[in-house]
Amino acid sequence: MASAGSGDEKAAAAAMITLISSDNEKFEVTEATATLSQTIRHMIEDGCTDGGVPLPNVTSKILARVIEYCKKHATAAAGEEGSSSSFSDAAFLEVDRAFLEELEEFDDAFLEVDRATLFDLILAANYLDIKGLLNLTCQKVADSVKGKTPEQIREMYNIVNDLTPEEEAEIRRETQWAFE
Amino acid sequence: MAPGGAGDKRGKLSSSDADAGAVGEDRLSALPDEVLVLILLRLGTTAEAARTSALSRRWRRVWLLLPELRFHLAPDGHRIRKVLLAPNAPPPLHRISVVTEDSAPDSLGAWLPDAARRLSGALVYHRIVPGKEDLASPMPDEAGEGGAIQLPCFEKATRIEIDLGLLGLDLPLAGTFAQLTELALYRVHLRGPIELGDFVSSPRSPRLQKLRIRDVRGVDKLTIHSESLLEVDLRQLKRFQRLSISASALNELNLLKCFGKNQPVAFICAPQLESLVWTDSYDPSSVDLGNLGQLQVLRTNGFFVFSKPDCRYNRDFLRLLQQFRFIRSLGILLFYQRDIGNFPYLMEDITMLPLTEFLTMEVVNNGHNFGPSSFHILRLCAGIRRLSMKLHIIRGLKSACHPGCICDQPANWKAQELSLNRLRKVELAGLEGTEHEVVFLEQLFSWATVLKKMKITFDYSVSKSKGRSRCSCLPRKTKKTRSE
Repeated sequence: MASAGSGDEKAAAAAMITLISSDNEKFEVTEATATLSQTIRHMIEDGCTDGGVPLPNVTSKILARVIEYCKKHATAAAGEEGSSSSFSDAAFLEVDRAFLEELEEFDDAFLEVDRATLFDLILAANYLDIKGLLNLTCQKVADSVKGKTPEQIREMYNIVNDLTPEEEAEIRRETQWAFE
Repeated sequence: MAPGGAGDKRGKLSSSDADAGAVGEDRLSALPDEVLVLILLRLGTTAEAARTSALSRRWRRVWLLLPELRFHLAPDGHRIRKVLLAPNAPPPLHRISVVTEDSAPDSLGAWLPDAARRLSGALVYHRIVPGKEDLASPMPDEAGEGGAIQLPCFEKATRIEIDLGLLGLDLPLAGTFAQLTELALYRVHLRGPIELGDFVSSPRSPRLQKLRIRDVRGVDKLTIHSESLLEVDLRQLKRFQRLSISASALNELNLLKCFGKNQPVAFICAPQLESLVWTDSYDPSSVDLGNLGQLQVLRTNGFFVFSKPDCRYNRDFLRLLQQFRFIRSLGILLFYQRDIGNFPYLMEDITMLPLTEFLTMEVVNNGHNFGPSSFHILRLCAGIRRLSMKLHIIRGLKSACHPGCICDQPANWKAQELSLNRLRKVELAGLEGTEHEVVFLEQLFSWATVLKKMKITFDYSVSKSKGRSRCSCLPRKTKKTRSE
């Protein structure tokens, strides 16, 4: 679980980084995978990754999922650089499209998690500053509340309405345009 | 920031497994503000985000932290102003987009000064006129007399796009749009004392790179001096008379249907220009294109294959193309009227074309046989390496082509020799699988002796099986088909 894909020939040559979860599990990943996280990228740039990068806010369960996401998307980023589609060939490139579709399928499958895991992934993506993962997970939450009434959203997410009736009436007045 | 404090929960970033099954915990409200803002941004409109203010105290002011505001048909301008004036030091805005059906200038413009103060990104403002979405439909020139909207000075905006459905707009008297890189004005009636040319020139818009002006009234002359402009696109400026552009970095100039029947008067000084689209009147005696030594791409007016002999589109087509000896990428549009009756065949008027490597030929054939005219063009461009050809279908129009229609004339094109012995790549799009297309394809294969790649895209109305059966005439190795 802890080592990066051994079949990957590049892995041997590439610099490896060790990530340490809150429950002290070690994960060895390539620099390309790790640097999808801006937080870790900055640590590498500052040279403070010797002996591993402790991530006290992320459990091993969540970190494993985050690494799974980063690995897939790091390969995607490398693929994009490699293909260097020139203007003249643009119309003939269908390989790229297939690859993007595959990535989309991966993302869809990746998001099939329970709600607690989804929130953990959001927090981890926010802490590690992984833009793609943060966008993906926030979009999932946004999609779930789109078109819902405040009552429905409260019920769905266990939000306690602590507004007094007067406050709620005032808010409704101010934002009446948004409810029309 | 927001009251109700997510702060105290922020330290606890990861739930233990025990939490996973916890019932009743509000994990959403516990997210930090910046994450909630990301979620609200993904709701689409600001109205949807504003509705979350009624969830609880925690949520009351989160939506006011949005760095982008998107209002679609609501609220009115005065209310937008209130949102922009929200207390608690709101963040700078990256984007404001407003779509409205409002037509009262006072509320239409009410929020603009506050937007100018807060915006450091893009302003997109569209006023839609119900039932008049079609740009081509004639609009009364009197529109805009009901008053004009004052455009304040957006000192920090990077992009401005305004479509007012032909209401009046007054450009600001003073001030520099110091960060503006893109300006698009659609369907506005420019009034007031400030000329558009002065407004977009370097002193007032020193970073402007892209300028798009479409369906704008009140611009009869345009004089631009700019060191920053890279792209200028002008379309359908009513009663346009005179264009003068001096732009040392200009890369792309598009001029479409501006002069109409007016005598075109233009002075262009754009030594770096690489792409010129001039589908407009052209007269070398009054249009000075300057030194276009860097020009790579050229597109012109359409050419009417059958028409009256004095067709002015054809005259201007010939006049413009005569100015160039070599154009790397040449775009030509051939046009067949639906009913070509007994009009004469005019292709013979084209006796020479600039040398070119990449030919883009678009044909509006209206069901007629485009073989003879396309052959005529290809014969004059026999040195091309790439050909991109697109057939345009005008939907809902039944072709007036009939057996014995004059479009088959001159019929000898198939018998004539043509060697396209440098042509390696061909793209054909918009095919319907007609007999005319099959015959043309067969001929094209006999001319293009070193063809490496061909891509055929059928119109979406063509079924896959029909597309395949129509391709059976192609040599096997080069076959590659796809339905759009």
